[in-house]
Amino acid sequence: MKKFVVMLLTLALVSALGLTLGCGSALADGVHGEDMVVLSSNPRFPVAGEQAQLTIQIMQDGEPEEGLEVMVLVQKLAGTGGHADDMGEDLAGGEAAAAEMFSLSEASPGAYTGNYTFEQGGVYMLMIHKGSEMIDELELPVRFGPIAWPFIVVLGAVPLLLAGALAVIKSVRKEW
Amino acid sequence: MAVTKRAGVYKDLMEIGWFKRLMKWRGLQFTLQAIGLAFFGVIIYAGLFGTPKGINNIGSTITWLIWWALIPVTMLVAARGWCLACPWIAPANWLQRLAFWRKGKRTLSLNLKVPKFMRNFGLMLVLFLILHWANSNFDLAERPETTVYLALGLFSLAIVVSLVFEKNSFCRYVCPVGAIIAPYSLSAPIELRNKDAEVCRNCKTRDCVKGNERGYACPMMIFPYAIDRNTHCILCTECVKTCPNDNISINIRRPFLDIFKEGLGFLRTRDVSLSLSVISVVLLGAIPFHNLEMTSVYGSLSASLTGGLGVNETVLQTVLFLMTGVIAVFIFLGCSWLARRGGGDSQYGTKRIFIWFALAFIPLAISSHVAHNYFHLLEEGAIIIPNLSDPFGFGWNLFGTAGASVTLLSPTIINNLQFLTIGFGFLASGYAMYRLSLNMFSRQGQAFRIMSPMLILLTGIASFYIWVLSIPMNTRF
Repeated sequence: MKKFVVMLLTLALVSALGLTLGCGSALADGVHGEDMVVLSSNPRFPVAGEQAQLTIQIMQDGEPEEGLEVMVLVQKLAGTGGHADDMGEDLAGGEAAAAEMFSLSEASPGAYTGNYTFEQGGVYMLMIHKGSEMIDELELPVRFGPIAWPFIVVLGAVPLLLAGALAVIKSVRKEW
Repeated sequence: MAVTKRAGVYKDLMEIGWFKRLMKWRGLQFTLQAIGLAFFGVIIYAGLFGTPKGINNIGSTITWLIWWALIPVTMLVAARGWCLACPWIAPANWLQRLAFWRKGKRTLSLNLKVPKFMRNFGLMLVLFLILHWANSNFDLAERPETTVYLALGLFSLAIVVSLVFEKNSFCRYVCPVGAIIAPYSLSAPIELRNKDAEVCRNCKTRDCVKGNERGYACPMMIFPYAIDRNTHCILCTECVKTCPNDNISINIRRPFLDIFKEGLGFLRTRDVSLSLSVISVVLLGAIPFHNLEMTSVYGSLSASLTGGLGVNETVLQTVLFLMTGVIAVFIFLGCSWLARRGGGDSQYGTKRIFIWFALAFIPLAISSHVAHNYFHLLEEGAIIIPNLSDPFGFGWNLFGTAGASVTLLSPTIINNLQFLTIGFGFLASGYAMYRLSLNMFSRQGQAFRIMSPMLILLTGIASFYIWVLSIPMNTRF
């Protein structure tokens, strides 16, 4: 039985470690004609109100495309609240969100990077432009806010403190 | 001496050797809870670190499309069997008992009794309604991190309650899921009962209530030696372990037996309380409303009301949600009053009729809940197949199903299944009503008179459900 429990816990630990690694990996990719576009973000899922570094890799026939003028048109998808029958479906439905264009600079051959701050959480559509030509549309989910660690810590600490206090009271009463 | 089987009981599973050994094994609950906790770990990880887009996050889809939708189905099959594996109470139990699976001698709890005014389903119902309301208003399903905060909040609450109050007070008086589990479990084809009432009557030790070296006293604070319905039994099998006479059976029985049972004696016990009946009636109003608010009919109604009254959508939804529960209770109260007048007999007051007849509506309530969930489970739930390949939205493709569009059943088949299920619930409730009326009055004419207002109400509610289900529903995500 002990062996079984130890095995189970080890497996859980290894899985958790494995999953935690690899922040900043590819989120979405698309192929348009000969162009292959891969989007990655750091953090992996941007947080609303916080700056995120977006990197777009553009390749043609397996070779990085260098020296391009790459622009991204960012638009939040409509209907990211309520029973979202239209969530992530179309830009035209619901209230049209304002689109914003920003340009990326080439960080390494074929890899274009830039910082952007998403104002709200939800799902955004990133329209990748090579010059004036749109070469791909990619979806990027954005967190509504950072993880509420203080809240999680309080949720864990309250029962533990209560348990500790009880243990102390019980042992003191026994001594008494 | 051979024990005669009760009417409606088909098989005592404790007669099967391996099953009996399994039930008596102290590690059973721990193992099931550990598996449940491992799942919970994945859900929490997915919620905190996975994609914020709910539909692509396995934490959200497993919680709201699979688990939440399967809960009423598990009640139909295994009574409160879910509670045996429930991970929420696991850390609370381990901390309170200072043991994982062994029988500990000490406890870490103030072991206070829950105040008398709280010893009912009231708090559970309120928390369930809050959960239901929050789910609709704050899009818990769409925002995976809120699912995590909710789950952790319940863990924390369960531990605090267990440290302050005795045994599983959380499960008995607080757990919001318990509000639906308790009434629905009456329908299950499984029950835990004593084998021979005579053996229990002659038992001097009452280990099932006090506990012994082999197991804990009943954590739900019921008397396993006299248990006659599923309402509170969480099938934890502690009584199976403690009984010195091997006098506990786990039976396969006729479904709805707790509701169809003959004789009024079983209705007069403390287990059938006003709060249990109020839950059943509120569910009759809340389920179709929840279904309705996922349709375009509610969308246009809501738009015209918010525009006309100048209130925001959340306020309107909250008022309508509360009103459905209140209206359901008042309509049921009115029908109970009419039934009392129809019966022409003063031996049963309106309150008594309300309490007892509400139980007869449980088959319709559970069938409508299950019918509603077919949509989540069989249509929306198919998303779980691509999600398993990319559980956290990291762009993985573990099983080659990422991004796949899967259809389990066509909407027409699902719709027909829904109508069939409502029909089955309607018939079962009608039959329960008929049996109940005949239990109350020996004269058939009088029984039919007391039954008729309730039968009209039952037909009205079932027709309303069918109408709501015939309107195309929007997805949760």
